[in-house]
Amino acid sequence: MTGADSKPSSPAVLHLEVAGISKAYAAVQALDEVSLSVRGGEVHGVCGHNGAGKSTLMKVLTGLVQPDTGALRLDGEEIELRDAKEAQRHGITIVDQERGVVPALTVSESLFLGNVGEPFMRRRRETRERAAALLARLGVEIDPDAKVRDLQAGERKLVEIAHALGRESRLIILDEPSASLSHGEARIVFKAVRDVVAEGTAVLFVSHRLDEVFELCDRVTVLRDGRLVDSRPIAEFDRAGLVEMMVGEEGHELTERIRTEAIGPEVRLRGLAVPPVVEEFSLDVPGGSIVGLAGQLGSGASEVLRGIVGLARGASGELEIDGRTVKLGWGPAAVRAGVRYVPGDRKSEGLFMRQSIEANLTATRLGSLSRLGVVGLRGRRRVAEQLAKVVAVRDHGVKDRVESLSGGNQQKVLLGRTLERNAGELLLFDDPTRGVDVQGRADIHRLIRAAAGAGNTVIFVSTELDELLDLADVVVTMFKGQIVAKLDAEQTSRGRILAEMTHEGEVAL
Amino acid sequence: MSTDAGVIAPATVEETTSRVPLRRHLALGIWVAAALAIVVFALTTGGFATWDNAKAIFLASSYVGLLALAQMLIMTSGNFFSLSLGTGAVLAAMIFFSELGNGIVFAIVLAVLVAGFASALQGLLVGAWRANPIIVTIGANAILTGIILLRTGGSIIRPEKGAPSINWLVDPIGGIAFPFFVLVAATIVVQLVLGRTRFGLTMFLIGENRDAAKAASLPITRTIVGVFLAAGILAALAGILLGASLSGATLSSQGTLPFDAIVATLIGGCAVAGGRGSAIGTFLGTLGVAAISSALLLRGYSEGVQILVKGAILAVVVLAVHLWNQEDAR
Repeated sequence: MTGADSKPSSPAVLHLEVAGISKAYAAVQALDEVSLSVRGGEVHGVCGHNGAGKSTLMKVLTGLVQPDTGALRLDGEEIELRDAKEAQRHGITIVDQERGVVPALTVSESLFLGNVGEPFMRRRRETRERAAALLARLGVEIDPDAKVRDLQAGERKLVEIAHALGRESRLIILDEPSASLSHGEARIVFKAVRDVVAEGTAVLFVSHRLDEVFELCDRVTVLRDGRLVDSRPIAEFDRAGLVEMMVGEEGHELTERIRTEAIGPEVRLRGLAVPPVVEEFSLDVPGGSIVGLAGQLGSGASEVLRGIVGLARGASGELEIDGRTVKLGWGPAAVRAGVRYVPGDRKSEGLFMRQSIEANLTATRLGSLSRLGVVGLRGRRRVAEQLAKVVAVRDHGVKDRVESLSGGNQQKVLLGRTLERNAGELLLFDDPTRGVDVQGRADIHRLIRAAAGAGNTVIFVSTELDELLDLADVVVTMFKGQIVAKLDAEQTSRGRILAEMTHEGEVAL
Repeated sequence: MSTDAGVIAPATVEETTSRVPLRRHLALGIWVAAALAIVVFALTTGGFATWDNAKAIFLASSYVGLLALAQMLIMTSGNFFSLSLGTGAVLAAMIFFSELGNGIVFAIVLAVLVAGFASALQGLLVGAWRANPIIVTIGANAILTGIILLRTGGSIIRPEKGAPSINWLVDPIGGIAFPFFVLVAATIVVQLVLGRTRFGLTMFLIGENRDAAKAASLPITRTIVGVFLAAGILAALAGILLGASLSGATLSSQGTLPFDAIVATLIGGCAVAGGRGSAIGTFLGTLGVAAISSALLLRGYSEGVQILVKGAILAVVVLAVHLWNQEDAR
């Protein structure tokens, strides 16, 4: 579409209809007959809790995923988006969390990066003039010659939005645009979004933050478990109603907690800082309890765990485990003090995917399985088989490669590596059931509860309300690196947790 | 030699997936076709299938094999390859010759220690500061080359007159040259270390996924330094034995050895990305490469053709391995 260059302004007002789109991944129905209608000149919010189907919907709209059934109609004509380029040709662009910015380029260079129909080379001055014009359209003052790496996070986001505009996008999808922004930066971005919409562009705004949804959106669509709950003008929603639609009915039953005499170590955190997200985080965890940190992306909850275990650069503060001070920021010190960490991203940081179940389960136990550096292979096999049984890895021998397992079984292997050691440890789990099926979840919850019952203390991070209520004794909600509220799991509700993790509130005592 | 075809296959056939994707059939097909072509080519070469030729292949394998074991360790630990091992081997041979007057054991120990230390230092940069192994070893290679040229002026270093005899380092035992026994012994030791020790098992994990190893607090620095140390020692052994057979050492005596070693390592089923490799596979890969070279030599092809064929085989191996291991696109 090189011809688009000649008439840069006023495309007809867009009307995109999503008609009965369904998409399943294996047994999981990610989208189930979802329909909605997006028009130029409005900001259309998409709300839904984890697993609601938001990201699958975005992938369908940008050509990354092909729906099983249903159709997309653009201005009344049916379109098929087989890849990202085709979506771009139809004027649909996504601005997601940190893509499309190349730190080493200047602003004007990066503004036209990867556009379909862009000539191989263009004159420098021409590029800069077009860049300046685009930025002016957004009403922002950014030097087109500045290097992207020197920009603030908010400015980068603005450059990305300008990038989308430069593609003559008629529909811009903003996926969690404020996750990495400060309050002030978010304001500037939102103003730019309003300006863009005033020109007739459509914006699809995906956010966990309800305050922002109410501030920015003209219309809101709520998804839950892959299904459309409602799609209405924002004026017809109130905050409580929206939360209720997102979480569904309050029909949650608490599960029995196992308690034994063994009590895990007491943990005392003072002024933990994990740059750039967490500035000051203090928490007392009574021995043997399970604390759930509830926080969306950018809340700093995962960073708290990484700070404790020494994986985050520049973490500082005071950590005491059972009265003993533990040096922060150095992995081996944390391990010696009995801190065990299960990362959230099992593929990149958790498992050794192409190694056997046995190798994964015994990875951190090789020391105790060996004498003078020689590993007793029979002992190793025995330990691995025993662990595999404890964590209920089904249908596989311990020699099978981990990559051949289902997500749930993989997660169990990862847990198995950490669990069932000695009592008296501090166990940290980041999103322990990400991408795990229902049966696997139940197994994993049982394991974590058993570990706490056997004399360990647990802190876990989750965004899933049921998981927080199921597993935690105390739910601590976080927003932008700070604690918003501490809630007793037995006396709170899903709606309350969700409300507390989607806005900044008073910092609790 | 028909063994080289079977080298990768046994390690990977134990897959549990019930549905074998097309690309795996393709990979297997490439393997079988290439192996058959090589076997037929070798067996139809006059003078190939003789005991004398086998002995020649064993001898030629010895030096490449030791260096290949060294590369295999580095590759399996997730650090691609070291480009300074060939020069390290030459350095070891030179130290060996110049210290021969002080006794053969002393000379060997000192040569091995210096080469091992030089390599371990590179391992420290790679292990502790996550420096890029290729760049580190290129730099180290230049430094070692410079030192050697400064000290020797490019001349050949030979044993001094009156130094103890080193013929036993070359002489055959029962018809087979001594260096081959060193290679066999080294293969067995390395295989045991990889499969049975804490160091070896940890090395696989680090090579497979260094971030996960870090999150699990595995001893990354210590292990990678150990890997480079062992690689330096193996290279030193190769250098000493090669020097002994040539009765002298110069920078150019490494020839295509470093390249052959990498080819043998890859053919032996080592994953460039790390986490997979075996001493026995590398040993067989080395024999395979030596057998092909021998067949080409017997047919009277020039060195240019030999290198060309090795390059082509490497390309085929890389393609087959890629097809085999590629992740299924979602």
